[in-house]
Amino acid sequence: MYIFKLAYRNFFRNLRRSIISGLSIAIAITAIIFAKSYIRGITDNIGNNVVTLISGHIRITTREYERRERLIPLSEAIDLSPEFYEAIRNEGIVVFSPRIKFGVLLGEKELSIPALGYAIDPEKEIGISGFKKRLVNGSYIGTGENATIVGEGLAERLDVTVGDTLTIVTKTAYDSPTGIKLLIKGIFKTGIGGMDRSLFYIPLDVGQRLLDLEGRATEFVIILNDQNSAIDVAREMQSRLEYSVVPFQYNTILRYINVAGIVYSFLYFIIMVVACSAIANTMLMVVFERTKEIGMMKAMGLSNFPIMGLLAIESAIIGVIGSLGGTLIGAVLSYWLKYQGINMAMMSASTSADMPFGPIIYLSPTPLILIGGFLFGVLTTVIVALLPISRVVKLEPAEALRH
Amino acid sequence: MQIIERNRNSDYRIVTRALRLAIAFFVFYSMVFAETGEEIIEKVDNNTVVKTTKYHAKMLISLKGTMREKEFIGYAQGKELTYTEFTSPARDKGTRFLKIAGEMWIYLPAVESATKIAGHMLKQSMMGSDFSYDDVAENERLQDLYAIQLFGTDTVDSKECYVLDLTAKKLEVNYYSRKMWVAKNSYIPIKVELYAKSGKLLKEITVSEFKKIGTYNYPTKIKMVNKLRKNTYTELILKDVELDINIPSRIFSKSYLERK
Repeated sequence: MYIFKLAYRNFFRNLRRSIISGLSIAIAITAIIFAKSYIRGITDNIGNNVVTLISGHIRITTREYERRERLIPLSEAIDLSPEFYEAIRNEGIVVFSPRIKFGVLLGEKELSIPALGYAIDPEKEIGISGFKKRLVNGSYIGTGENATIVGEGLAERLDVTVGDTLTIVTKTAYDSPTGIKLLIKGIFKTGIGGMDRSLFYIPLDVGQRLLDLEGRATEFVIILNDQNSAIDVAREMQSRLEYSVVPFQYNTILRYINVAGIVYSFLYFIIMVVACSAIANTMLMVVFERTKEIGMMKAMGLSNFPIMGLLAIESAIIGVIGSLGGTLIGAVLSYWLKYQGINMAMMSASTSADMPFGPIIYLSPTPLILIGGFLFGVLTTVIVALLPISRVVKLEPAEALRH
Repeated sequence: MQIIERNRNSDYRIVTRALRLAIAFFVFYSMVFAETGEEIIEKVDNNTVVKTTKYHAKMLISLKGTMREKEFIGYAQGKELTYTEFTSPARDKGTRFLKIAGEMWIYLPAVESATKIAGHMLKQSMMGSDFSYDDVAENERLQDLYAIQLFGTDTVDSKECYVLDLTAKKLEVNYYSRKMWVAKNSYIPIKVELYAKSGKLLKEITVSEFKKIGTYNYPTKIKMVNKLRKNTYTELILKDVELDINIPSRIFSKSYLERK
């Protein structure tokens, strides 16, 4: 017990040194908590974009469409029959919607600008992709209207704006040329550069007539009230359907995110190594500075074990205070940015790479991240301090006193 | 008996000598008067390459067991000018194509204006059929484009045919090589295999009917099978074919393409 009292008094003996040591630990832990929350925020953002804009919680296509999706094979379409709707019936469904994805070449003088069109049920998509809220100009489309909403980047490339006419020439599901003139009713912005530069949306019924796909759609997305049930619900639907029923967790982009998670973990590991070295540096300085003092203690008869225990407890106190401070700062910063967000618009829109997130990243801290950061700080401080401590206590008292 | 024997020996020598003379004459005749590959293809070109043409056509597209029918009117002048206008079904009615040299425009009634199609799209399927836009517009002498080799003869649908191999002399051709079965009696290519430079078989054409129009034996029923797609073929049936007529130049103009 007296060792704890001694360690506590020693903490205040050189307060400046203790504060500096604690501060470096606090900064390291703040960085770790921020990095982890930021990475989690990006992956949550990507996951949310994938669900709302691409896959829903469950996505249904024909198996052949899934196999050849890159070629956008319109002829491989789902038959939206009463039997189909009966087969997908589930009380966990919040909203569902058919979609038709089709590729076009746009341009005033020559068809040379590639773009991707989606024919959607405008009312149902409000609860899925939420494009109504993403409009930056104009108004939303309605069923039956020969109208479209266009991505902001695409509008710039085509040099069009709200009120202009967009002429589309494409092919039907049977490879016959087809075309339509659409009124540009609105311009939207997702913040994802690649999507804003290439996407436009039209009403489903207009798209079905245009593409010779009456009563059919190339994909069907479902939103559940509990996304964690997606795998089970998809399995149940698959047993009743010959189509491919895929929960969002198996989406290709999210799978790449999981693989990218390994890269993120590596980056996080680098941050931890840097944090460890900062803490180690501090504790080395603390321990070697007290070599004489340790020599004095040994000369007075204290054995190695209580000396090590004393120094370890001192390190732990520095670690606890530093980690607590870092965790508090990290928590305040992360939770503030959870609601404030970091605006990535410039990075997302200007890069040539299609970043699948944006424009605003909201950090995603959790109690687990905070507790983990705190414990990491304390344990690292004690462990990295023990190494120099064990070397110093092995010195002979006379040798230590001469240091 | 000896007299009879001498007479028999003499008869045998006469017959043998006559047979040898006949064989020698036949070989000589074949060598001097046999047709070369170039001569055969020249006759094919004389039948199929026209100055101008106008026709009504029915296109039957079979895809995975489903049959779709389209009708159109076609005009062509030389190898540079082609005009096509679809008249049925209702969905396709009024769709028009104009090809001038290597450029093509499409007019869709719903769009009410002509849109230029990028050059590489001419190799794509025309209206979902197994014919490409280039296939339909082809009207060039094979002699000018291909080196020709005569392989021999074969029988196709009970018709005696020359079998020829054609390899492109230049790269600007629709198909790098062709194998042709040319009917001896009509000089119509009744079967053609179309190959890529890699040697991959791309398409197969069979001509089952032709019509004598003036000096031409002109194919009027053509079946195209796209070997790169499964369970699909297209039959093109030409009716009311008129060849080497005077076609007003306004037909091959953008204003005619976009007329209301």
